[in-house]
Amino acid sequence: MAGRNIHFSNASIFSSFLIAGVVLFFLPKPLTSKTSLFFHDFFQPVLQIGRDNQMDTGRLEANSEDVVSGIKYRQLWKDYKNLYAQRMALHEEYERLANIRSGLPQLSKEALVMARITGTSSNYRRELMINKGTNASVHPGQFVLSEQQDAIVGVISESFDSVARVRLITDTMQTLEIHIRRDGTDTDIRAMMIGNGTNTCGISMIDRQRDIRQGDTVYAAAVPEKLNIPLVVGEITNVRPDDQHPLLWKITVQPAEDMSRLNNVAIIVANEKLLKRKD
Amino acid sequence: MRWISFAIILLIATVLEAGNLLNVFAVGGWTIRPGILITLLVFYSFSCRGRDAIICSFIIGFAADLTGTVMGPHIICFGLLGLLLNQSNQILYARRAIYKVMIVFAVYLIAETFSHWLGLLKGLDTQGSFYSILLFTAVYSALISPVIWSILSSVSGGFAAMKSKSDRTYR
Repeated sequence: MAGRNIHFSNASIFSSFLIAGVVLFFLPKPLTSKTSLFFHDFFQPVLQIGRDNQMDTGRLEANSEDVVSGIKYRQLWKDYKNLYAQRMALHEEYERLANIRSGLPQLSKEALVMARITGTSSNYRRELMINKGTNASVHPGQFVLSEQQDAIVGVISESFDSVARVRLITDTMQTLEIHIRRDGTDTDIRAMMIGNGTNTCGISMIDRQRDIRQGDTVYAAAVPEKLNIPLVVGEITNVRPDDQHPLLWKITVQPAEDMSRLNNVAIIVANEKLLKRKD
Repeated sequence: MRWISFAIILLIATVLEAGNLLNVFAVGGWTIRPGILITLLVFYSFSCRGRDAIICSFIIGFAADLTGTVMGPHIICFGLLGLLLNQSNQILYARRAIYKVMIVFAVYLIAETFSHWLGLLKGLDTQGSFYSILLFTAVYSALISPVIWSILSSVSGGFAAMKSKSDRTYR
């Protein structure tokens, strides 16, 4: 009977919820994001309904001649660019060996984990949810490749047991160290690329005296333990002087992979067995 | 207040908002999808008594945060807006579809803008064309809101009738 006499006013209920909201807001992001990831993990089978239909629709459209040839062209373009990058890497390796500056060739320390895309974060963020997490050795900072493993599409930003969040290279929070190269030349410019928050990325802070042209290829720079060789990211589609810094270029990069068509992705994880063997 | 029906409706709306099913209705190069939770917020704020409306608004805000990246901004904004809408339902309560569309449009713009600003405090960044996407999503959400509103009304067993009855009983 005593319980029935307890009465909370509207003001006290509102204040309690508001304080709870403010506390949740000020808690560190790694703590609170687990709740969101747990939700995606728990409802994963339901959340991914519709992805297949969307992809099937895309594939049906792809039956027309122009689109098929376009996709084929993009795929061949990426293969060609990756082979070119590999040749460059082998050439560098050859030069190093020829000068007796390195020992035996390194063991590949990478392994790939295939994951299915289960959803997107919201209209406002360039992020994807995938169905692999820490249980499959997927951790923040690892590179995410397209289904054919021929282009970088993003980086793991958060991971939970069997779900992870991928921040796409087009997200404004995502920066990537890159090389700009041109076929048939020695051009190799290192720079930082950042997402534009649209379907493109941008490169700034490059001196206008550097020779950069539309059509040059952008590669992700190799990162020890994460990416052994440079891998194609996209193509430069626009080069113009920066309005705010006239001495610098403002460069737009079109990613090699169409993010809206992705259905599966591959994550580069460190191959622990190989690492142990090398040790 | 029928809490079980509210829980089921909220779960369905949250799963739709977080999942891929709404991509079927996505439009334009920005793949703009309608927001469903915002219509839920307006509907329950108008349809429930003060206490229930406050609780519903905060819970819907929590659900909105679950579908996003950062926890907290939507709880605060939806909670505040829910209270405001509930207090002003004598002035704003709209039976005609056009008023519902206008209210959902305005509430979506306010809620998402303030949530975004709070998100910036939490370390998020403004994506390119954010405000354009926001505007188009608000328009899209508002346009489909009368349909969702009618579904909610029928599923919830005619909250308007319940409200007038409970008003007579409790106030």
